[in-house]
Amino acid sequence: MGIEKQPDINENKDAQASGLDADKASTQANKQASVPSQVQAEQVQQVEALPQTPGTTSLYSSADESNNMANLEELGFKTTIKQQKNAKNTEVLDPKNIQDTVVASVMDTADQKQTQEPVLEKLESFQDDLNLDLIIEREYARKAKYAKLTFAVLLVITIVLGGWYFTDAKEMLGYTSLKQSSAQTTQAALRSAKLDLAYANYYQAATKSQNLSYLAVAYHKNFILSNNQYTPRNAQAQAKSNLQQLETQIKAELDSMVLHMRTARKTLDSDKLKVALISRLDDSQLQASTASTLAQAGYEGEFLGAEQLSRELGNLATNPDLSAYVLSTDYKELSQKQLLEYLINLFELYEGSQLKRLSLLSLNRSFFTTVLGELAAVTKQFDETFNVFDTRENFTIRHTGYSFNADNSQISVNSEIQTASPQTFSLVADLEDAILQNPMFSGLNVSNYSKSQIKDSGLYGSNLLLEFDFNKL
Amino acid sequence: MPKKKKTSLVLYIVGIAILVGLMAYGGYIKVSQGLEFQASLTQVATQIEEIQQEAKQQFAQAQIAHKQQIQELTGDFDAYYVESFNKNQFVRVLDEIIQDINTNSEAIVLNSLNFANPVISQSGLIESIPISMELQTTKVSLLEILKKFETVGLDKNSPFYLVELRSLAFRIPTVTPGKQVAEDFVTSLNLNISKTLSQ
Repeated sequence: MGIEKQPDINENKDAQASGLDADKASTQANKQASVPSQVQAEQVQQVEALPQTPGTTSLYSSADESNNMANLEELGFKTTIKQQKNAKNTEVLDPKNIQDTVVASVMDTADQKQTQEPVLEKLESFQDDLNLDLIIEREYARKAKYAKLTFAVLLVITIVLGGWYFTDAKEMLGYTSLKQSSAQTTQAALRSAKLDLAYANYYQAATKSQNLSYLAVAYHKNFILSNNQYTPRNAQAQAKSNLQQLETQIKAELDSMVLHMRTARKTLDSDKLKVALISRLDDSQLQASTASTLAQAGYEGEFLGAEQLSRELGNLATNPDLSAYVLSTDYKELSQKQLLEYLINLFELYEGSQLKRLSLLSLNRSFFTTVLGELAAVTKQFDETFNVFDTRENFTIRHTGYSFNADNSQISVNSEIQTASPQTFSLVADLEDAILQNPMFSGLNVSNYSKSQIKDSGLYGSNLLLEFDFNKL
Repeated sequence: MPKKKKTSLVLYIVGIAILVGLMAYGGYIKVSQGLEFQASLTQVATQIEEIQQEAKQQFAQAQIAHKQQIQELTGDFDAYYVESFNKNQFVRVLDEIIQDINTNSEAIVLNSLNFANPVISQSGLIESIPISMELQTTKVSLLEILKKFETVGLDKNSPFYLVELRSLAFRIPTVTPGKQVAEDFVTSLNLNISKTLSQ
């Protein structure tokens, strides 16, 4: 049993400091416990009268109390309150041992209960300090403290991790995780691959677009020839055959161009990619690629060079009006004339393309021979022997002079009319109507009529100036 | 032991358990997301490879198509559409054309030829050289030269000056009774020769 003799507080401190063991102290205490006396009882009563603070760090508030404690020892008690206090403060007590200590202490003095009852009551007042509940409660408090601390730490960790995970803290701190880095690298590779694919598709579409420029001019030429009154029949038949082939080729090229444009546009699924494509169009990659192709084809000139192709490509990739027109217009069911008009409208949308400008100049050319042929065809309805360069003396209608102006698509014709009857003006009116019925002509309005009878022949003659517009197709 | 304190301890333990659970769940999410991410990376890598292959194929096809197209185009395009306009070269070519018509058809004479200052288009891409000429011709020869000028230009196999007829005027000789009608007549013809401008 850990009962220690403790004459006074100072001595107890010294004993603790010097590390006296509990057995030695126990032996000394047993010796003193065998000498009870009335004096001791009186001294205990005096101690009892002093103010006590149960459960505090020390039961003795002064040196006098320490002296009283010495008197208690003289009364035969085997333990001291001081020892209990020190033990509680220095280490965690085994509640079982503590209980034994307290019980033993009380049991040892049980035979003196009658005479020492006030002292026992005094001891019971210290129960708060010594009882099991208090110790267990303190143990709980200690555990609760650890639990609280652990909870707080975990809570902080959870909040920090959650904040790290769910907010943009990473970005704010400029932190890039391995995962993020991998994703960025992969995304960059994906973007690059998509860019390559879109670029290759636009390159294909551009070659088709370039080819369309030449095909359209050839198509226009054959269209004019096949519809020209002055084209020999065999040449006209050849022109019609060519026209059919060219129409098929043009529609195939348009199909291919549209397909590649659609693929490219589908591949460019973000604004970032579109911007990247524009940047790529500015760099020298296409120049190098086309230079290589041109060299392989044995061409060293400028006109078919990379610059022409890059302008075509740039238009297809970045000209919204052009792509909208190409992708939204159904060209498959167009007639030959409508197809020509479609191509002219399409080429008009290209910006900065010299090739397309030249094509347009060709497509918009005025064909004076066609106009002459159409006029001759109309005039022949009234005079079967008519021809454009008419030098006949006997005629119903002949044209003596022509003036064409391509700038305003206007034609002026000096005409002479001869009729046997005086209804010359009716013939003029019929000619005017016939000209206006031809889809190539418009804007004719004869407002001055005059006629005179020819003395020698007795015929009625009229001189006219016919001014009207002609269409280019 | 007060019940209140016991409850407090239990609450803390429950709280700790919840937090540990949360962290474990977070870890699980993290790991599962990582696995998912790895799978998506693999998928994207496959997609990239496929796209790259297709891009290479398309690019090769584009180069082949471009090469074929260039091989189809024969003739000196630069001489007509890019280089600065060579007046004397044009005069020689015009004489050749008229000579060809004279050989195959009736006589045609180029009486005069005038060149005006070049005009640059609004787009700045094309330059036009206005030319006026006076021809003594017959109806057949006039039609021949008109057809020639109307059909030459941007031809895949035979590039030539891009000629635009601007105006034409002629009068048919008047018929005088008892006199032989003159077959030929004089006509004025205005045209433009267009070419591209290097930028």
